[in-house]
Amino acid sequence: MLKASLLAVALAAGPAAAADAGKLADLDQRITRLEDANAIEIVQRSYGYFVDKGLWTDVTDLFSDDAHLEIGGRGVQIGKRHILDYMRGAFNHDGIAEGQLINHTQYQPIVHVAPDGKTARLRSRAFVMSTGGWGLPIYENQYVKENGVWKISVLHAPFTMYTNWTGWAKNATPNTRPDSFGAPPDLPPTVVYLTYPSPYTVPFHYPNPVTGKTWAERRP
Amino acid sequence: MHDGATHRLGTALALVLALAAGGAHAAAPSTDAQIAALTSEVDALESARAVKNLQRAYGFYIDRALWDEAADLFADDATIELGADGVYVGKARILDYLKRLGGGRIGIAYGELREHIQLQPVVHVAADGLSAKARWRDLAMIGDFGKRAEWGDGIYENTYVRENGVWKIKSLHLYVNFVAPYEGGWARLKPATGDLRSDAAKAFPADRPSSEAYKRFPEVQVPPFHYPNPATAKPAKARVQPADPALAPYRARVERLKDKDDIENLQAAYGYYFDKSMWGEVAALFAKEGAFEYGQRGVYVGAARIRQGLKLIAAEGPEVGKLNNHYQLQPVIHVAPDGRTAKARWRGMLQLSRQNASGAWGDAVYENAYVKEDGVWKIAKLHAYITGVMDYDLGWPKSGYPMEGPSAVLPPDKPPTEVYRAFPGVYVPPFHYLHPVTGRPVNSDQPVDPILGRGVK
Repeated sequence: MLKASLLAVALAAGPAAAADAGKLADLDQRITRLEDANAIEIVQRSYGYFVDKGLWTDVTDLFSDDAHLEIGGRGVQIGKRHILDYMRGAFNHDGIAEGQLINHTQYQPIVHVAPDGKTARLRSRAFVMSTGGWGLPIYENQYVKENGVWKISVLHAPFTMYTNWTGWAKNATPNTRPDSFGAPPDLPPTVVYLTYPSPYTVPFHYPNPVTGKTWAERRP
Repeated sequence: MHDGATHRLGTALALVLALAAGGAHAAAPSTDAQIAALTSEVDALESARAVKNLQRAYGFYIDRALWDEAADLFADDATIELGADGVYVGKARILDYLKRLGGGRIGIAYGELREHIQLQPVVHVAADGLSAKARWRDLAMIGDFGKRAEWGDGIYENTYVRENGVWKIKSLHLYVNFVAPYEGGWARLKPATGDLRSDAAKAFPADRPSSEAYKRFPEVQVPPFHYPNPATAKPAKARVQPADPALAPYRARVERLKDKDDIENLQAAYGYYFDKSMWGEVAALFAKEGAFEYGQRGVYVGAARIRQGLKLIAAEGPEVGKLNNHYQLQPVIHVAPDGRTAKARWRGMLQLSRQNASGAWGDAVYENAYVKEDGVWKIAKLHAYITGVMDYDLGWPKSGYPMEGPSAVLPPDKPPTEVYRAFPGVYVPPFHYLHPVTGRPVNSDQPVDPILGRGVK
């Protein structure tokens, strides 16, 4: 819309002006895509900071109204109300208590914003350091820009490995523990897989950065 | 936090109308040059992001032993050097070597954990936009279920090249600091002796010998830095100055993006110096009257006092058996609209040990402030809120060292800004920023603390 309006006025003004208007519109789009990627990283990193201290309302407010949340093998929660109930179900209060540590540190983000700037995807990971042990989820998330504000529209966090304090040579926690979370899911898991020690590769939303081949093309 | 599309449309239209009214001859060439200069700066920002994406993609591929995908990220004439294995040259050799390291197949096998988390980049893109360098850290979690579990720590100093518009890895160079068994951890490591090459390198020797003589923790190794201390950087050369006021908003946005990247580099560099207790280099990163606050030790102000205060945390310089890793990760950076100050929240994981003592894991959350002095970003305030430090052997559930208070022998310039306890106590370091979606303050109600009497009725 911006580009079309600029070009309309510019064409009336002359060819040099039209060329500049076009370059400026392209530049504007490139700058905006960089700002978008930074904003999305802030949302995802804030998710981690809020989860760490059990700030479940602040966590939930990062999501779009009809967002999907799928953690481990526990099925899909749809919408902010159910997401809040899920979070409160796992840890049945806001805030964490004396002696509790549930750090979900957020690392290694790769963000791709769609050319129209309205949606985006991210692959990243968490490194969980907790009083229960260690964990490694992968995220393949989606984001949506509503009224200029980026929000999480899909949070999909399959587990690579979870273990307790005896370590991953001796202990591996399965990814499905329906007894530990109160809120039943709205949908079954989108994919059924086994965590470590079984090997599972979370599909990549992006093609190989050099060859351009997608995950499906490389491994049909 | 609206995207200002309406504002930008108005600004751009104003530019175009000005050009039309003023005539193309005088205004157009310099406006062209201004737009070209801005475009080249945006290209540099995109390149920095592309290099980060590339290295992170490498990590996600090697985690799952997708050696073909990983090798495809290298230039045809690239090199790889992992630990003491020597240098493998060329993409084909790199693929073969990686596959052999992975047990001769592509893909993770049942029972394997081979995670290499790619962290804490300091990225510099060359002025011509065709090459780049980056320092990273590698946090490894290695395992064979039922048999072994290990932590790994290493530093990369990598180079990258842009060929036909596509960024590729030109050289990947991992300095392995340690690989430590899960039980006992890094504090129990003895100095490494003998041939430290992997079995793959012994069976399939490298094309060139190791480029350096490597040491492993507990011995001292400081991987060389590809960059000088950021505090000594010269401000960027004067660019084509924007004579046209309609371009000013674009320039401002580009500068704010560059500021954010520079601050990310600055804080990551702080971490790499801190790891090796290089207190002179750390202190140099602070602004005049910069403040340093670590846990409950109080506040030290100014480079000289900060350097003394750092010596209370650990002796200056790396030492045998001393591990002082303070990761600098998960940044949320906000630069003020005038580009003179900034604030950031960071997370730091700690890996500690001293000779003849047990090791420790820890965690910290930072809320820092930065200031631009003479065109160069410096740390105005470093505030490390210690979440907790636990004894490596006992683990979080059974340990949690209390923080040290202000020193009696070298008292701080100011007392602690806030009083809180480390784990098992819980404290929410206040957020410098509003909720990214709602725009409201983030809930920083502090939980009940029975020992401090906070919130206890």
